[in-house]
Amino acid sequence: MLKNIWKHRWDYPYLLPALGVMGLLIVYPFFYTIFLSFYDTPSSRPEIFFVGLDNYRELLRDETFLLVVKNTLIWSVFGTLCPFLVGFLAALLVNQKLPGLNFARGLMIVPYAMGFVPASHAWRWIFHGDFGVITGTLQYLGLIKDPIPFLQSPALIMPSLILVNTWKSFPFVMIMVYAGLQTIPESLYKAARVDGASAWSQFWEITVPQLSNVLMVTSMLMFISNMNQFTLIEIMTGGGPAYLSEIIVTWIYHSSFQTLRFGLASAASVLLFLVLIVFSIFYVRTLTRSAVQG
Amino acid sequence: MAEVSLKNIVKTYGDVRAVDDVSLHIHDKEFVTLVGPSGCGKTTTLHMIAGLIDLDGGHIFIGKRDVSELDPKDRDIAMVFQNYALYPHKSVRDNLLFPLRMRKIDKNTADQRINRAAKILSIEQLLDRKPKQLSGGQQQRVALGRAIVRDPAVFLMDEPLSNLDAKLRLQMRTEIKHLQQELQATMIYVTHDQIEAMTMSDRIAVMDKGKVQQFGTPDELFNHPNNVFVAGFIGNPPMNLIPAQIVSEGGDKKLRMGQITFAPQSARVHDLINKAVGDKVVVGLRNTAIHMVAAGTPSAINTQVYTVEPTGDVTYVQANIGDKMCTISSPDVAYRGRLGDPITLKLDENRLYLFDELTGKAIV
Ligand SMILES: Nc1ncnc2c1ncn2[C@@H]1O[C@H](COP(=O)(O)OP(=O)(O)OP(=O)(O)O)[C@@H](O)[C@H]1O
Ligand SMILES: [Mg+2]
Repeated sequence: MLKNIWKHRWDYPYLLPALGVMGLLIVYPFFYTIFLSFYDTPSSRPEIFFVGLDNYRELLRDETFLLVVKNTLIWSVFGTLCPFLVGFLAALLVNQKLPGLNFARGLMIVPYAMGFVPASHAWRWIFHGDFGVITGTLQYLGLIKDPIPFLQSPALIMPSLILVNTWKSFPFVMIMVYAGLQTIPESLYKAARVDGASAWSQFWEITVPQLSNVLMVTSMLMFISNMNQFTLIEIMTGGGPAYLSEIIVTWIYHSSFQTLRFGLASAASVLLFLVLIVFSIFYVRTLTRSAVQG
Repeated sequence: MAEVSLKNIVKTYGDVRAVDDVSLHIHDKEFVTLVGPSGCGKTTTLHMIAGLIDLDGGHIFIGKRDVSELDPKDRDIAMVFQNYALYPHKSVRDNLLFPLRMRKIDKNTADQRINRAAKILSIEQLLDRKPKQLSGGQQQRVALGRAIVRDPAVFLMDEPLSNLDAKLRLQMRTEIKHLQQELQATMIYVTHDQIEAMTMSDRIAVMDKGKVQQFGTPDELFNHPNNVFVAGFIGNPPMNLIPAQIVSEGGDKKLRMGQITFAPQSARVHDLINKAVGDKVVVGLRNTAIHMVAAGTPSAINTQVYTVEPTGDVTYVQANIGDKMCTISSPDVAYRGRLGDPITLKLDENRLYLFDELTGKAIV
């Protein structure tokens, strides 16, 4: 070990630029955020004041922030569950040996291949109350009179966002599950058929357990990326109206760069970090376990 | 009663006739082996019997039932797959339980059957392990166990021993044969190893290119091969097959093999020659039907040693007869001839086979 390090002593300087950039962009902000979370940062003055855990206390008492936490949970849970179910079913479908499925498989990947920014803009317009294609079509067909305010109504806003996320992310689940399905040996299904298992039993006794690692990893990845989903929400609703679609990441952004409460936003960041790190540890565990099991 | 009848079954994949008009009648409690080279349609035939592949033609009967259209689960068969196909996420016990659970057999009966199977196969101490934690031979036993807990009318086995090392294969060969007799079951067994087929089977179906070339007892196949293919496939070392031409010299019919002209002495061989349709034939001689004799023996063939292969209890000598390299059992195990040593060979005319070169069929 030491010998190896010594042998490669002249290689280390080459790492410095990369390490420097990482330090500047990741390590420094990380510790500075933790530091700031214990300070008050009044926007009117250049100084900052140590306040201990006050920022954390304020967050946990703030009704708006609690609403934001609730939104984040709804968004992350259903925004994972829905694409997951749709993607799983799509994978089972494209795994059938039916004509035309290659084309369908290609088509279904389009939403995933599209960037979040154009997709979010497109859906904002699709949902628009006055100019949106959904409202417009329904009105044209005479099915509704008044426009449907998808992104304004408290009842519709989260379901609408989750719908877009389902559309956007189900191909990811589909690809992962489809790849997983390919690795299940055909002979297991043959054995099960001889053993008397129905299609239903084959699904639950072979497909699901064989995919368990893929399912765990995929859902965890989805959950983590949903918690961090800034682009889609910021573009479609900006967290509004009245915090109805605000989630923790958008809230952090708004509190720091709009209301300039850096201390408070840092405290929220630290809390979000703690939650995510737990999931990440689970994720890495599952991943290494499945790698070990082959 | 679980006799199995295949009546003209056919399976085609595009242009390939994987199984081409196969008919076999397998008796109750019989051990029948399908043997043949890779790609000859053994697995396809077995999967058709199991109901895992649909028939393109023909019918399959198990007992008196026409099962051609039935699902695998309704055919009363159990199968051991070439790669075992154990359920990797289930313990050995759950693997054995699975077919019983799917058939809604009550817990007590199921436990009894699992314990009995585990005992027969001596895997009792492995029941709580996962398949990954087992050796190849142990996995193989579990796969057998999953088949026998069902107590099926017919066992189907697809090369169950091909993944085992030579020694274990020998041991499992005996065990499977014993098991079949103990369970009084009908067994259809697939292998590409003709020795496995010869040692285990009551009857063997030799397949090639999707067709059954011959169906008979090991003795019949060895001593009375229907055609060149069976003659060359059954037996180790394989039968020497020497292309020959029938020629007339002074009103006497002789066999010309390369530069050698062989004048048969026996009425039997003359009779066979007279029955040949064309003048092109193939002479078949087992390694034990060619004798090394003293130089100068009348109507013998002179040739030279190519190699000598001692195996312990037999020594094989390779030498050309005509243009064909032949294998001969040396009468003297200690014989160690060298390349080019002259030897004299006498053909055993009582055990000489003649095949039509064009059709490959045996002339009898
Ligand atoms: N699903 C399939 N699609 C197309 N061709 C197939 C398929 N399954 C088998 N075949 C072809 O049918 C023929 C018979 O195959 P089969 O698997 O029955 O051979 P086998 O005798 O079991 O050979 P092996 O000893 O290699 O297992 C082969 O030519 C094979 O290529
Ligand atoms: Mg095969």
